[in-house]
Amino acid sequence: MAEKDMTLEEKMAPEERELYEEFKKRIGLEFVPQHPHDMFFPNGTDEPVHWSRIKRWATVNGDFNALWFDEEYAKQSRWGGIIAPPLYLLAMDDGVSVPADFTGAIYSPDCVVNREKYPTFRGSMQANCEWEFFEPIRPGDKIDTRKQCSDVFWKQGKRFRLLFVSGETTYTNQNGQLVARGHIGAVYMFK
Amino acid sequence: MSEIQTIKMEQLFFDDVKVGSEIPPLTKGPYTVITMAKFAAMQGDFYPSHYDNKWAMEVDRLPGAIAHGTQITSYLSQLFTDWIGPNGALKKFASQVRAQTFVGDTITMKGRVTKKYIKDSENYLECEVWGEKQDGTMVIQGSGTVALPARLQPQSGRIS
Repeated sequence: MAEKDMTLEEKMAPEERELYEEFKKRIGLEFVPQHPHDMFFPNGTDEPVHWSRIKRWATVNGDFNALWFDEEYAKQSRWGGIIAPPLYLLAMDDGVSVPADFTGAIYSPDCVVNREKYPTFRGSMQANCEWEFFEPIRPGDKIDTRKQCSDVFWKQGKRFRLLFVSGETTYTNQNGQLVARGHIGAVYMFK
Repeated sequence: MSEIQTIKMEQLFFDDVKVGSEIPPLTKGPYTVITMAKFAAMQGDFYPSHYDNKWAMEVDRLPGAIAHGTQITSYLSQLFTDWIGPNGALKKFASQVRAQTFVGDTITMKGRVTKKYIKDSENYLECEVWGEKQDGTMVIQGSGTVALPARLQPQSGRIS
């Protein structure tokens, strides 16, 4: 059969189908993530948020808003002190609802795709995100992150077979206040 | 070591914004492999195509090293925090990456107000936002809701 006449299902390699089944099993199960890259590059997600790390994140993004840097200025604001930029959440945890052991199976410690196991895998990225912010993150906060995978589906893209995995992440601070909620979709590309 | 020059944003007031008002644009770039390597070092995603032109071209058959989508997402959220001032708050933010960004690209973030309302005595604006490359290609699209102070705090429930 010519490739163009095959259904998406027929084009999928056995290990792709296996991945899909694995993701599906995890729908609705809450887990405490490591940052997906933590096993390669510890991001300190289980440590209190350090001000220097907030400043570094902002600097790397060319975001020099005095709210993240200047204590006197921040004290006069509605926040009453230094806060982190809202999407500092991405520095702690990229929101992708994939347990770290999963990332570890796909990527080697050098962040290179494990081609022996997944020869058709071409990469992954964040497809979309939606955030709601309730409380700011402040230096010294300890943020508890919980995730769960909520949806998994396949789609034929222009160049790749696309496996979409979406999930919910909630971030709570040491006072039990809900800091933020994220709905993040990731896409895994196969060819 | 030289001091970082921080920026004290002016306060934006609910009264001074209309539906259709534009958010002051924010330009980032041109992107270099250093921009990408620094972000990788903060965020932890060291996939080589994010900073190695040769790898990006040979292994992933891309025109060059590709920016992290999450950095562009972060840039788009800065459009709001630069605009709303020290007493404004970003309440909601959503975005979708539409096109790839490569070394050499400059992105300009833009936006406009689509809705203005008062709820539970907070003043809200809803906005559509996007980022486009030097050639006009849309690289990211999104939306956000912000809460702002008013010059004269309105009576609860009164729509200005």
